[in-house]
Amino acid sequence: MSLLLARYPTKRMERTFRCTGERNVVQQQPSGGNEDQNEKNASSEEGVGPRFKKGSEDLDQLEGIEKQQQRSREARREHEQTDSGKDPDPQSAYPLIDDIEKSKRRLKNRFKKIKDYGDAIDEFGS
Amino acid sequence: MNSAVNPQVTSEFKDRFKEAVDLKNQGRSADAEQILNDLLVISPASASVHALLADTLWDQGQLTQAIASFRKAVELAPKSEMASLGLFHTLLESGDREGAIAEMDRFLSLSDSEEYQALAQQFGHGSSGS
Repeated sequence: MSLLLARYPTKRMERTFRCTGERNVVQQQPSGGNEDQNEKNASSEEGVGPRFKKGSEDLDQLEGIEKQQQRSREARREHEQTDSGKDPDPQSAYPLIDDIEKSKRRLKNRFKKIKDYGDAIDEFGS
Repeated sequence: MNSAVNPQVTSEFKDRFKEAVDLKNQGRSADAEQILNDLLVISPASASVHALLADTLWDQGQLTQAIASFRKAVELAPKSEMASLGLFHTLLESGDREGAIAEMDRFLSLSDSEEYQALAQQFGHGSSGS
């Protein structure tokens, strides 16, 4: 009888099972619940790798969006500053740093072009 | 221009200078620095040696010494754009923005420089040194 009830539960029993989750236990028992549980564990462990990989991809994407938003904010701020004539924000100094860095690299390259004393004399005179 | 009239600049001096340049370009900055310091004993008024030494020190991250050597090079060769730019950049890198701008203004008051003109615009400076 109890086997019959487990296989063909009444509507009332189904409602109770739905609330407590007991039905799953009852249904799993005949077919060897432990094996299923092990399989489930194994499959969830397998899923860890791809899920993390997906996570890092999402993170990259998020970082990309954040960078883009920051660029937009900077551009907007720069635009507002030219309109308002307020004190420049430190953020707006970034293009300046970039140009200074380029100038520094050009200078370093000029130093690298000095190969002997004659080249140095041409640049420094003595 | 002065090598012909400077009695301290012998062919050996030039060879040692080239050796220092080669070592510096090979990334052996400490060895180059040693030779350049030796050359300064022979010819302390050589702007070339001071400037090259300054760049070598800069490569090694010795900013304070690099600034001192670039200053000396600028004193000896006030119209050398390279020496001036070296001083400008090392001062800026050390955080002395005012000093860097002062050097830019000093040079632009003596000579024209496309490099400085571009930088002056970025700094919101005129070429007149305002």
